[in-house]
Parts: sequence; C-alpha cells; structure tokens
Amino acid sequence: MALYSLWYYLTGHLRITVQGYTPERFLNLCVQRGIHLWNIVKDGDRMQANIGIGGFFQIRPVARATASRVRILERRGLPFVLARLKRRKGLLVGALMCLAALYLMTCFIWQVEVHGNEEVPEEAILEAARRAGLYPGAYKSEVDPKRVEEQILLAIRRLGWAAVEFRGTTAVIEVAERVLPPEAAPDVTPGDIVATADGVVTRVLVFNGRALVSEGDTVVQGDVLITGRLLEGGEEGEAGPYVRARGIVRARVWHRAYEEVRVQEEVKLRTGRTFDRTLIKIGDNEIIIRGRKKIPFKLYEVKVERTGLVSWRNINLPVELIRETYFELVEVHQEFTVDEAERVAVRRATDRLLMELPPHARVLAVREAVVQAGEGFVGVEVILEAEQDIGRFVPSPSGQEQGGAGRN
Amino acid sequence: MSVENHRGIVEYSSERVVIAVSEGHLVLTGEELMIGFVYQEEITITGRFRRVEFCR
Repeated sequence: MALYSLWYYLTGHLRITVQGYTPERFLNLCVQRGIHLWNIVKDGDRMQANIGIGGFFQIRPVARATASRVRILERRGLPFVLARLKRRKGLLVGALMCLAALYLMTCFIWQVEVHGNEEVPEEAILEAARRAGLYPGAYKSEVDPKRVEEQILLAIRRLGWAAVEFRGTTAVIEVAERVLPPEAAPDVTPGDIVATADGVVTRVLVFNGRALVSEGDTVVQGDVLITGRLLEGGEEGEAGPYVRARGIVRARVWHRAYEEVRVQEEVKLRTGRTFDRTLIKIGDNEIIIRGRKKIPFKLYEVKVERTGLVSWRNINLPVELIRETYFELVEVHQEFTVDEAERVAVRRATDRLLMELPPHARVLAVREAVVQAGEGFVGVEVILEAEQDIGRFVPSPSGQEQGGAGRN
Repeated sequence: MSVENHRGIVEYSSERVVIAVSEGHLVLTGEELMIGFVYQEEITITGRFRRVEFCR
C-alpha cells in the first residue's frame, strides 16, 4: 500500500466531490471508461473520491451524462508542489541561495583548534598558523596543511611534530612537543687534561688550553698533557686565566697481560644435550609448567630467560615467565703439548687485552714472549701496542678559586 | 471486503451498498461504508459491516 501511496504522490491526484442524483451511475461509468477512483466516501448527497490527474481530464463527459457537478477539494502530490514552486520563483531562488550560502560557508575556516600542546602557549601556535595562512576566516582551499605544518615547526622550535587537519569548518592543529635536553651550561670548571696511561704521544689536538706535550714525548700516567692555564708563567706568582682544558691526546700505549696454561687441564665442555624447563614465578613461588623438577644432569650450565608478563605503565606485576635451558657439561681432561699450551695462553691473554682496550683504540702490534715454562705449565706474556686516547679531564684541585695554586 | 467479477454499483450510500453480480445483487449494510477502489473486475468496500445479503 505504501508503494501505491508513493506512486500517487509522484503522479499527483485530486480529492473531488461529486454532487448528483445518481452517484452509482457516475461510479459505474467511470469504471467503464477506465477512470480509476479510490477512497470513495458518501457524505450525505455528495460523494468524495480520489482521482488521478489523468482520470480527472476524462471525467467531464461522465459528469455531463450523469448531471453531476464535480469540484476539486484538494490537490495532492508532487506535480502540484512543483507547479506551486514554479509560480513562486522567489522561494526557489531563496532555497538555492540558501544552499549556495551553506556551501560557501563551508569553504571557510571558522575555528582553529590546537591540541597536544602543554608548554607552548596556544596563542604562539595560532600566531604561527596565521602567518602560514591558517586563521578563522581563511579560504579553505587556499590553506595548504603541509605548508602550515612546516611553518609551525619552523616558527616554534619546541614543537617536534605538527599535523593540520580539517574537520568540516574547524581546522585542528595537532602538535607534539619536543622534549628538550636540559640546557647544559658549558662546563667551565677549570682543569687540565691528564694522562691515564704511560705512552708515547702520537697526536695532540687542543681545543682549549695549552699543550704541554708534543708528538714523540714520553708521558707517564698522571702527567698533565693539556693545561687550562693559558699563561706560561701562570704557575709561578702571576695567576693567568685558568680555563677548562679540552683536547685529544693520543699516544702509543703498551698493554701487558700474563697468562698461564697448565699442560694438563680439566676443561668443562658442553655435551650438546639440553634440557628445557619453563616456570612461572608468582611472588616467591615457582610453578613448573613444562619440564621436570629434577635436572637430569650431574654437571650443567644454565641459561635463564625472564619475561615479565605485563608491564603496563609503571606497574610491574610480580609474575614472571622463566625459561631455563640446561646444558649438560662433561669434564674433559685435556693434555696439551707445550706448543699448544703456549698458543692457548697467548690467545687468552690477547683476548683479555683486547677486551680492555678503550674505544677508538687502534692496535699497532702484538708481541708475545714465553716468560716461564716450568713443570707442566707455560707462562706467556703478551704485549699489545695500541694507539689510543690517553687524555682525561681532571678539574683543578681548587676548582672554585681561579688560579688558587698560583699563590704558592 | 472485495468483490470480483461485479457488474457495477446499483446503490451506494454510507449505510448501504448494493453491487450487481451475475444472477443477482449483493446487498451490504453497515456504517461508514467506503469504496476503497473500483476497477472493472474488482471492487473493495471497507467499513463496519452489519449484514451481507445476496438477492436473486
């Protein structure tokens, strides 16, 4: 029925009243001529009915034949609405203008919002955006979000990220502030650069201060390499300016290591057999969820991996997943020849020295010598020559008093 | 109420509708009787019916 109503609305229909002596004949004639009538109601000597527009134009002969008077009560449906609109052009123009105005208004930015700022004042961001062309009243298509983002970032260095987004007529500037490293005041504590090791200086690079050594000099641990005293005579009487010495001093340094290896040794080796166990640790209780409690090896090494289950914000639940891997070990009796023992000792000593080298060190030479070979053992000394940074800043003993040492 | 294959409306008022059918008349009495729609072959009458009679 709803479909009918829609159809009647679209095509348009009339409510008519028919006044005559024989409404029955009127109806019958209409039916014969294929004029469709519906919702027919008798109202005293009159009759009301709905009729389609097409039917209404055919009704005149019927009305004449039955001597009935037909009057239109109501006009319903889209065609009439349109016709009315056609007559009232102003209304149509108004509606269109309203639409146009709405559209036009959505082309402008009405509001600029800033989100995400904590320290940077909103006004500063809005001001930066304004200079880049984003402000309330700006024409939307003339605002280039990318450019605005860039301009904001350039203008306010505290911001690490900015995004401009249009939500309807509102422009939203999303920003993230940069966490600035604490402004480190340049350390001006006076002091010297002092040698950390004995060696032969290979390179001196002074950024600040005065070099006391030059290439080829031999220095001993504790020697001042670069002084913060700018005047040569500063040490006696006259106290010159005392600054913080800065610089790099590289030197050839000899590192020694001694290693002894017994010709007969007991060594623990992995057999390759492993045993896994998984536990959950809740508080102090451990629950084994995989593997046995008893470890089936007499000798073993264990590798433990711990995983905190949840680490949310700063809450650490006292629950841990522990995965243990046991490696079976076997004790092997090793016998070296003297040569082998020497090689092993050299390798161990060299490894140890290399581990202890400071960063940026360059190994120049490695020399080894058998120092002692006794009953069942070999003692080896390895000398490793490296070029490395030996400078270390030492603040002056009377740091606060400038040139305090000069009084003596 | 819908009547198919009718032969036309003989009498129509809000209390009484007489529809011609082959071999006689269908007399409907009631209140606020209304003809929902009329087609050549079908007629639908709504309202509060009191009596439906068939007269030869």
